[in-house]
Amino acid sequence: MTLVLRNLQIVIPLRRAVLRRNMEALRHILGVKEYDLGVICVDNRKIQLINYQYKKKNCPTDVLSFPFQENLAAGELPQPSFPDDYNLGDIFLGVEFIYQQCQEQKDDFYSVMTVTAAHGMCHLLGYQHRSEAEWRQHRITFDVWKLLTVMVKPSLHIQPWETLCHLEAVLPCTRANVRVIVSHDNCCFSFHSCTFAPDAA
Amino acid sequence: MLSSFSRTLVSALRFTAPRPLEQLLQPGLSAGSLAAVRPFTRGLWMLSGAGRGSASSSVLRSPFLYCRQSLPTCGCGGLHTEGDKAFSEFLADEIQEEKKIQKDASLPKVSGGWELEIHGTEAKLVKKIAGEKVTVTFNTNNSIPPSFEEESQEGQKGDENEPELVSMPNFVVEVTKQDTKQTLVFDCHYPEDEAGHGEGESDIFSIREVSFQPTGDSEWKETSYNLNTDSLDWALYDHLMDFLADRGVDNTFADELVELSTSLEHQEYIQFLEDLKKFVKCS
Repeated sequence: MTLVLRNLQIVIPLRRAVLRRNMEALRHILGVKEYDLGVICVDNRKIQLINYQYKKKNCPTDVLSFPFQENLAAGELPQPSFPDDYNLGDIFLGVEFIYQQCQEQKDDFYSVMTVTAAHGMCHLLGYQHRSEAEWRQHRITFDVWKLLTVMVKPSLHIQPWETLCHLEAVLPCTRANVRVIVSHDNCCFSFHSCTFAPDAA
Repeated sequence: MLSSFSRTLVSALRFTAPRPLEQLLQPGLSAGSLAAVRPFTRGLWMLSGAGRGSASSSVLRSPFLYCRQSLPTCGCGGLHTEGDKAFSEFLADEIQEEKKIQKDASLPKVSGGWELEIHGTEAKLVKKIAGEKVTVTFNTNNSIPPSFEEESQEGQKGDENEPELVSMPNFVVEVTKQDTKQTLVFDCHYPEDEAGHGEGESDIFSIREVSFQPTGDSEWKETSYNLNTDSLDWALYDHLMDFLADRGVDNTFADELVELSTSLEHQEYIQFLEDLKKFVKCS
């Protein structure tokens, strides 16, 4: 089904083809290719507006997800009755926010953006991290190695272990995993720790 | 907007019981109501002092006045009515107001080394990159989305909060390579929801059609294949957008084009008002 990309901002120049390829890879790995998905790239101003409107947080952020299916159990793919309802929902990517973080951490913009989008897709699939308990409880189990083979291409300029780090960071991982990430890539962890930590009550 | 206004008018006339609104609107609604207009016209005429002294039949008979003492004569042989005079005064005020809100006398620049050529309402941005010539053409006529007008009518916020008119023209990008006889032509536009509110979820601009045209031909070749993007593979569409971005036609460009077009349209509007004033006043 359709992956709709929208670029609503002028701050960060985007390569749409690269973003689409990475997003298609993610959809393939997560087994959700038959569902529609919207990925909307916005600047700090717009994502701050949405963040405030829907989450009452008046600050820019990296990603916000809006599932099409409400109350989806984590890990269960939606089984709609009508073909039109084969829709996961929309992910808003704060590309300006992500870019700024990447500049600070000297990280690759497109790979981080893909990881951030993967985080957003996990939310669309029902995974949450509103509390630490929930964070620990919801663990995604899918074939990491399969993901590695798809994502690690020379054109992405990232090494397999980096991808693994990104993946572990994006998944609701155990503390042990976090330690692994730290030992491999401090930058990666420091960036993701703030994003993937359980939400403050 | 016009149709919705007409609808309101008709339904108001149909359903208002003692019809006070109808009485108010009637003078302006039909030719048969000319008698109702006359007192007002006469009132103005008398105020101007020209009808002083008598209610002679010549005054009542001719609401239109040829060049007389109270109006400047110009020898054009055309009509000069009180309406023309009021119209001209109105235009003078309007021009003054429009010049007041004109942001800058000079046109906003489009970054990226584009050269601007203007031919009336048509503008061309041209640049050369490494053996390629990129031309962007747009016309400011009918480039203001109608939704702005509707919004201001519904909002009734008053003059201070009136939304600014923004010109969002369709534009054509032509990419010509030195060693080919064909030009790749992209027909681009600003999607409706973006044009209407600026907070929609459409891209800032999108490609509607792509085709090859013979280089140098001013005539559009209808027999060339036209790639419509409505049913296009999304991946191909993204590559086309990236292709344009590499040539300087990206979201930033589209945003700056809106500023340029808005400024050009405003200039043309003021020029039109000035021409209209000259035409009406005939001097």
